Amino acid sequence: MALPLTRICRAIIQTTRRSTQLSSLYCTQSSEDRKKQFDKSLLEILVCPLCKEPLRYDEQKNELISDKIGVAYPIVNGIPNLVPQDARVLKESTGS
Amino acid sequence: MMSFITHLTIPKFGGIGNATRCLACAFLSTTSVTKARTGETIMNVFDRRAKRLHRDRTTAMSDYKVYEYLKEEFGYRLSDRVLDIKREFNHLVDLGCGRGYVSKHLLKDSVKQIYQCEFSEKMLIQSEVSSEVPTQRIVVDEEHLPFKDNSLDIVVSSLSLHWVNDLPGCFKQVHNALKQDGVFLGCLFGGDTLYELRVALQLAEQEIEGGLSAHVSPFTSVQDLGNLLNRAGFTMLTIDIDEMVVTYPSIRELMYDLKGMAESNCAWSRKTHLKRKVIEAADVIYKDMYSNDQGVPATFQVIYFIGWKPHPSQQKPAQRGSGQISFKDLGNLDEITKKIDLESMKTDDSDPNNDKGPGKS
Repeated sequence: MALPLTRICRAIIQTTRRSTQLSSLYCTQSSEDRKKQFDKSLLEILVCPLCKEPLRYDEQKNELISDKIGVAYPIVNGIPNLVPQDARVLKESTGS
Repeated sequence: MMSFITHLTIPKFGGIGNATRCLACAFLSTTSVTKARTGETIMNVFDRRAKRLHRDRTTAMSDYKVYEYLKEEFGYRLSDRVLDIKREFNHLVDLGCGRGYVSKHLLKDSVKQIYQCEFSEKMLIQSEVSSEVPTQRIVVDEEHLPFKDNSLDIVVSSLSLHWVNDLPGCFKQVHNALKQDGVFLGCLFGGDTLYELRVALQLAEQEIEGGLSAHVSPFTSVQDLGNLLNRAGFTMLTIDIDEMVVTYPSIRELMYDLKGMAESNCAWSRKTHLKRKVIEAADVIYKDMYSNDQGVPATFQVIYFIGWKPHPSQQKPAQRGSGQISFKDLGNLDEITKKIDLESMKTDDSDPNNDKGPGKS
């Protein structure tokens, strides 16, 4: 079950790679974005929109990470962006 | 819905045996799932990315507030319905909040925490928040909800679900995210919305180009909405219709305002252009068929719905056979109620003695 789901999710995200790159560019450009902190209490109700598993907050990169399918959702201005098309696919490292 | 249905009915399994038919169906369903997920195929009715762009573009307009009259009004009416429920909600999700049309009216007496969810990031940044209730913003695609199961008390949605491709899936996800006895309250445009514009454009295009294309998107009908909510598992449904007629000087102002509201057409089968001749003809037809003293009216039909996630404490229908009065006696109901009242009076008189008895012992 885990593998096909992962593949589907990756397929969705890779189709819109260009927009992802643009959005990540936007993230790096604005340093003021980091001023507004992400509220960690949100993690109590948020899950990954694709696999419905809990998310992990990466403070350094300011991203929400879904470990199960290896996808990172950006946080801009303290607002998490949980749209699958805007997510970044993490490199194949562990797990799969 | 027309284009959607024609595309769906293309595959035919005329003379194929049962087993092959099953295989073919299975194959079709899997491909349609993967295709639908990428959001790039004709199986979808709406181009969600185009809709996101429409919404983003309105944020660049300096006078975007001018076009919000419709959403403001219905958002306010919906917030009034939230306040009608005498309950304190811990977590409220405003799905497709736009610029916070519903959530800005909410009070701390009824809601403790608001989550504003919107597909367009730029619009979300412009959203207004309630002065009393702490509010968090999340960029969310209505078709992929990021909420934990059984975590929310109430989900509201005002005039945004009419652009969702997978309405049953969206309802199912809302149902899963709600706690037991949680409520889903919302409104969306109904089937009669903008019928004048639809007719005028169809007639004009038929006349000038000899064919017609979808300019007004397909809306949900009341019956379908009830069935969908029921199918998603909501109980005690309440559905009602509200109609608002707005009068415009001509068809151009109407279309311009629709653009300002980010309600431009985004069906996959849409035509990307509209000839000036067609607009002129449509203007004449619109005025000819519908105009009144003030201008041309445009109808907006809005369907409100309330659905509850089941809980054992909720009201249930009485058990079969538990009724005391026969339907045959409906004609002389007054006499029967009088008789029952008299009997209850008698038992009340005798009851105190009976009650005292066990009390003493």
